[in-house]
Amino acid sequence: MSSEKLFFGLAPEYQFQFAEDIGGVLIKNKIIKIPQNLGTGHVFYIRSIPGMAILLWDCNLEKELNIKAYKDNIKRYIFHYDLSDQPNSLLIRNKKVAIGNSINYGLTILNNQTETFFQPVIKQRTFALRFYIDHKLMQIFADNDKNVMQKLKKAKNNFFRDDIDGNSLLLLVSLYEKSIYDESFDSFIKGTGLQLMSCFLKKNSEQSLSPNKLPEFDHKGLLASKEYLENHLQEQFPSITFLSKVAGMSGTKFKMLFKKVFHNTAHDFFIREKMNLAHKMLQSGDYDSLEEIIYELHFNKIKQFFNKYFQIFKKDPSDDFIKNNKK
Amino acid sequence: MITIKHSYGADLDWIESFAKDFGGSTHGNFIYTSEQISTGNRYFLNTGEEDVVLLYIDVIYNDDVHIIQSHEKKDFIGLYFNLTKGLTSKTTADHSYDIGMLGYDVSIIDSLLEIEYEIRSGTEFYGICIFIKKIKIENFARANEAFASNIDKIMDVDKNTFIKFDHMSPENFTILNNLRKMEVGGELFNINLMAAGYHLISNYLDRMLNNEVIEKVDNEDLLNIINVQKVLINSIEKPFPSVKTIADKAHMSQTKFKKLFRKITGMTPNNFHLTYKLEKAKELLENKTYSITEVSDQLQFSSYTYFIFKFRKYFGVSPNTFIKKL
Repeated sequence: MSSEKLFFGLAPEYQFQFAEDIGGVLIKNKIIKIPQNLGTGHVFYIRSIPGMAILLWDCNLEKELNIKAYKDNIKRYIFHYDLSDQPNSLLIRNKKVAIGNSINYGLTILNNQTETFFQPVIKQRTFALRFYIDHKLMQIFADNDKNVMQKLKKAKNNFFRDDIDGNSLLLLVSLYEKSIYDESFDSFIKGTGLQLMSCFLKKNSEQSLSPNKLPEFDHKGLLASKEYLENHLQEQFPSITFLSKVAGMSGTKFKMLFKKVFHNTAHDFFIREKMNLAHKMLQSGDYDSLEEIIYELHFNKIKQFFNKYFQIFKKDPSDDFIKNNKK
Repeated sequence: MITIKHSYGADLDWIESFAKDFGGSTHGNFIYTSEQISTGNRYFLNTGEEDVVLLYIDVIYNDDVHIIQSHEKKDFIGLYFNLTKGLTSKTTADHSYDIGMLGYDVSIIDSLLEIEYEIRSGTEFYGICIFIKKIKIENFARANEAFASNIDKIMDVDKNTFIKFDHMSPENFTILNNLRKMEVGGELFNINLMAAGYHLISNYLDRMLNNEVIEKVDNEDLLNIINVQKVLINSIEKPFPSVKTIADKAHMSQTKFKKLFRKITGMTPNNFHLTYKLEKAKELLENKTYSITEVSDQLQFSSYTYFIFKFRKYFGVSPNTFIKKL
């Protein structure tokens, strides 16, 4: 039997009602102990900086609970970090959504304007941290970053779920170890909440998304192979096997990384560079005939050269050719 | 030698006069001083938490400066976390302390007290100051019995003033170091500065309540232990030297050394070394420049398995999970 329990969110007064509903004890106005007939564990609530509040679930429920978080006047985002052993479910607009770190959806962002139900899995440890944050405050934090705004827009319309990033994971795991009854816990969780915010912003800001960082060794290897290609444009394409040896990695890895970093396959890159060189040679006026250039660039057939040249520059090489007039 | 007298406070009233005292100006949350005195960032932040103000200082002094802290308002205390390279001395009416990295790098000082600093030219001064109104501490003590019954640990009971000089835990060290890598100013920095403030306070409370706040130690012994700590921090890319080696360096017997080291840092020498190692490993993995094997090799862990085991034990997550999720 699942029963409906209310939990509004931000204002501390709502704790009383929730505690009463489930028959739990409210300690120090911040901890609700879950009664024995429902399970073990507690719910911790604290206000952080103005416009932000944190709610921590750490419990092992025996009975199914349907926890409703519903509308209130101030628009807020709800960040839900879920580190439970088993995936929990959220009921949004009568649709059931599985969330939880165990299925790589550790972070869910919701808004408080839609009715949502949180349904923790029974007989498993539920560990979830939620923070509620005002739209206004979030606006300041997001600082008009397009990517962050996009994610938030998704949350505004419906919900948005994502994997937890490594740093957030470490922060949450360090919460496991603390006792909520410690006097230092309040400021610790406040700090952690803010850091989670910072991790979210860092991960999703435009800047962090652009460069694909590679291990230094791999990067050096790729540069070396690229340099090799650039220095041997007049020869035939060396094999991928050879290039991957220059880069110091396997053929497959080389092909993959080359494409990722230079946005082109090694062969295409080589041909393009070769054609740029051909273009320069054609216009230099140092050569008597096209054949001379084609021979120097190690093409097997004239036709092949013409085809490739046309593909890239959309005109025939003969149009660009400037004949040697120096003699 | 320049002598400057200035005041702090747990509100924002002191900022204008502070800038004036240092021959500079304020701009947004930045406080600039005259370049003759110091260059770098001084950044204050009103946390939104009532009666608490944070001050971030990362500056280089360009002249010998004698600073006298004499506060106009006497209603707050300052919690100072200081990672200044090269010690500077701090004098209260009764004592002189070496403050700065690995010295007395955490201090809690009542605004009633007048403090003097000697700072040499070229000193890289880095630290975070947290100013908290006494009324807030009183309220906190009223709500938290354990804190109230331990409050005399950070007080001079005879004079009824707060004063305590202490040593930083590796956690604090990491918090401060991570913050230093960030670009100062902007919302992201504000969030992190606030988070750092909360974490520092939480950690300080923890240590205070768990009796890890140290008693007075003989000054010479303390300096020796500090030197050993420096050696250990600088050798994180090497395996742990034996206790015998470092005890010899500190000119102590092994037993005394182990006891004293634990008293001051709250952990064993090996653990201390390992903690810094693992934090460094995390930093390297975060940069994505090296693979797990490379990091393990670079920090000279005896084996890959051992590294993973220790990483997992310390952070609660395996290195592989960590980098996958980045």
